Amino acid sequence: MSATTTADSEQAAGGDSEREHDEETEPATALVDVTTRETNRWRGVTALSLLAAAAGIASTSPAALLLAVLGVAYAAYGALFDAPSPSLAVERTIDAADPEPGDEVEVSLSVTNEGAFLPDLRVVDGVPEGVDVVDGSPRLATALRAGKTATLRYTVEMRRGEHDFDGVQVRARDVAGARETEATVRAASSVASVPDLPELDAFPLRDQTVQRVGRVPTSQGGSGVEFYGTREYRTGDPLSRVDWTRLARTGDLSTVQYREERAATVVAVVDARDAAHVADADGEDAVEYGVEAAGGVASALLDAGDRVGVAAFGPHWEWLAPGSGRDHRARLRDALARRRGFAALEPERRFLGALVFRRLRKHLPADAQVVFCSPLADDNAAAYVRRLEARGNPVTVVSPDVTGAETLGQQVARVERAARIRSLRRAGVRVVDWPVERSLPVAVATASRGWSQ
Amino acid sequence: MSEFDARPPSLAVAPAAVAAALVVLPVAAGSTVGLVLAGPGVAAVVYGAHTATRSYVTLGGALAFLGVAVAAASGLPTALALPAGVAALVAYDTGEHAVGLGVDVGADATVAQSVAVHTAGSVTVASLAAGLGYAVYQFGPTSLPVTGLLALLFASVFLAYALGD
Repeated sequence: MSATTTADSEQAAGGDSEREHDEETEPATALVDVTTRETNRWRGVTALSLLAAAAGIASTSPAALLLAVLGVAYAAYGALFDAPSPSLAVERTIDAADPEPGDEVEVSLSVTNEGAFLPDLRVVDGVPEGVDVVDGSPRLATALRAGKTATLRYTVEMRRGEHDFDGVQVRARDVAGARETEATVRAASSVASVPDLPELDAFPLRDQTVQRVGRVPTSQGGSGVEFYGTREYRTGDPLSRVDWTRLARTGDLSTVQYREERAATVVAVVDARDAAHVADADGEDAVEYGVEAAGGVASALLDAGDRVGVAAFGPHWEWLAPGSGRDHRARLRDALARRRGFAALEPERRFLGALVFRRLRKHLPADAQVVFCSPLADDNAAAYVRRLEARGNPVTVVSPDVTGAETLGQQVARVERAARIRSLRRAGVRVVDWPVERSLPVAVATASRGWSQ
Repeated sequence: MSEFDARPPSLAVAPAAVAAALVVLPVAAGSTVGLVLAGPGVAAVVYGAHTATRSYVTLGGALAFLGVAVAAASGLPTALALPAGVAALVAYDTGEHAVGLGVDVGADATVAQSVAVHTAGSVTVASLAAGLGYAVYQFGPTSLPVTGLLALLFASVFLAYALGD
């Protein structure tokens, strides 16, 4: 499918709500932030020509005098033209329908000259920060006659999230290059990549539950699967649960109780503070892994019937209250993919730790468990975990290990992180140490084997 | 992200390189002193254009033009000095243009049309000026009085001043 996007017609192909825009729309023509300036590239040419003239006079050489004419001619050439006032129509086409992260998407930008001849036009497309140009160049320099169109094509590699293409920067020079006009053409379009939640079969939770039937084993007897204990028979106990063997042996009437299984309310908190934006050896942002972990945990727990919410703990605060069901799953998937707080981009705001932490505490239901997805790259991360745990929200940390071991600094960071994990484990917090070269399910399985022993 | 390479594409440097060669050849034929100035000058222009260093292009351009002027003053025939002067100015113009392209659109962009139009403009202006000057010199009044020459010089200074503001 080819989707045409132009100014004011924002198009996002993604998720389950795929929309199709095949109709032609009016190209963007409005130029904003127009500035004109002298390039001063012919400054000094007059001085040079006077020097040549002087050399000619001094040596009575006609050739040197004639050279002076050249300099003056160029000075006149530079002064001859006014700054161009370009009138352009810009149209961007993004050839993608619901791209997955890693897909290559072709973008083409057509610039039509609706004014006079432009001898030197430079066009730079506003490629969003989150996507990489893998083929071609989003930049072009050309001469454009009136009514003609220049097209530039390039390929970007999609990444998770919603990416907004900015305005197009144009710079037009006169033929002598003495004056130039710079402007921006507003041509907003966007493309989104919303991946499915990662597959994770199960995620073991701490033993805090809410009053709903689910799969988290509790330390309460009731109706369940696993044997829990026996107690004295009370009137109203179902006959199927009476311990008949015991009745036969001792004559006492007793009831078998099974371990009750309840649902939990879980909030997956993604650490998106500046300190968490650390890259691994491949240059992948740790927040990307954090979001993957949160998605995997949410997917597994939603499947198990738990109520799951997500939060971005960083300068761009995001909150999706715990919920369950198909709609909630779609909302969650969309939030993790699109919202700014979960983006693997450097934050644009300052992080006010106390304020954001208070906000998190305010939003967090009292009986909720927290799955904190953080690379544990600084001591504050561990401190926040301890404070959540102290407040009564049992915390499980999923920590992608993005530390290296090549330089001394990397080794120090690795040792510090290991120390943080040890101290958290001593404090009773469960930590899934996830070496990112392995898959998340393997890391979770490995970690939970340790817990059950 | 593939890193932005803020150097001009080789295509944009080509006109400057050709012009540089056209400076060196005539000057080398007639004047050693001129070559000492113009040679490094055009080399600096081409190097500056290739690496997108504007100051090299500017200084190199000035040096090349001065070299041609010195060569002309020290006896290079007009028929060689004028093309060399044209080439020096074109080398500076296209070299500086290439630097601008490098900074604005980088090494991976398509620039052919822009380079072609700019080079054509530059070559046309320089050739016209040189042709006119040469025609006046060859076919004009043979015995120009000194006062007339001085008046011409004053006129050109005033013109340059008027254009320079």
